[in-house]
Amino acid sequence: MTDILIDKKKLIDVFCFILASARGCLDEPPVYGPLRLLETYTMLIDALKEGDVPSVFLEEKERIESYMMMCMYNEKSFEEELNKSLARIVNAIAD
Amino acid sequence: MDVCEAIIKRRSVRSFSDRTVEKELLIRLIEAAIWAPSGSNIQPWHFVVVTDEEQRSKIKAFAPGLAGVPPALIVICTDMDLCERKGGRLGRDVLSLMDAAFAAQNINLLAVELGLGTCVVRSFNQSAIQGILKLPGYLVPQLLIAVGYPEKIPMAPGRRNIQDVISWERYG
Repeated sequence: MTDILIDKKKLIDVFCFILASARGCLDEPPVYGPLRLLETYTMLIDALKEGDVPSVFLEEKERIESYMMMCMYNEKSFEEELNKSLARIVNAIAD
Repeated sequence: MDVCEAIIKRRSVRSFSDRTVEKELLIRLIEAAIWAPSGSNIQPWHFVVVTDEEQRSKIKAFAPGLAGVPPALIVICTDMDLCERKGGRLGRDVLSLMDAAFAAQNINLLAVELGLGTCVVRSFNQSAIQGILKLPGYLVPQLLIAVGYPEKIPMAPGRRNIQDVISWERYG
């Protein structure tokens, strides 16, 4: 397995984001939970500097960014997009 | 721009250009904010304007609701001691947040006229922001407003039909 290089500052930002989100989600609308998880996904991709991460994960970031705010106004479509993301990743891993 | 136009055109902007927001415009936004109504005219607000890159980045780390790192942030704080002293429990528990929201909307509407975009955020860790901004304990950050020149202006989300949200004389 090859090592991955991560931007230290961005990783620290992710740690802070996760903790703040965990505390926030106790009080916030339930749908914010999935939203914060998707945001963490995109932040981690942004934090990668180099390494052998399959391109399907990198490509999924853009798709996630295009639909993640849908959770605030169209939960049904948000769920559909999330299912599609999962399907793409599963297909890529299963191959 | 008339008020109705600003009300209709306002959006929660989450994508900003790198262009710096001029200090004069930020001051104008605060000048609008202080003309908001407040319970018992307490005017409990204190505004911390943040433009420094490192400071914005620190705030962003503990504000999950903040999209990206906007060029400027306005942190609307309320003096909770003042709220309780002059407004009692109502002042402390209810009006403190309402007053911050009134001020925020004044900022939002003037921003439209100035060609700026804003987004009001409540999803942040209050204790963390207090620490980063070195706020005294009685000054509580209630709302963050991201401010900048919009990169992308979102479409208006749908609105509930006015017929469904209005009643005359009594409910129904």
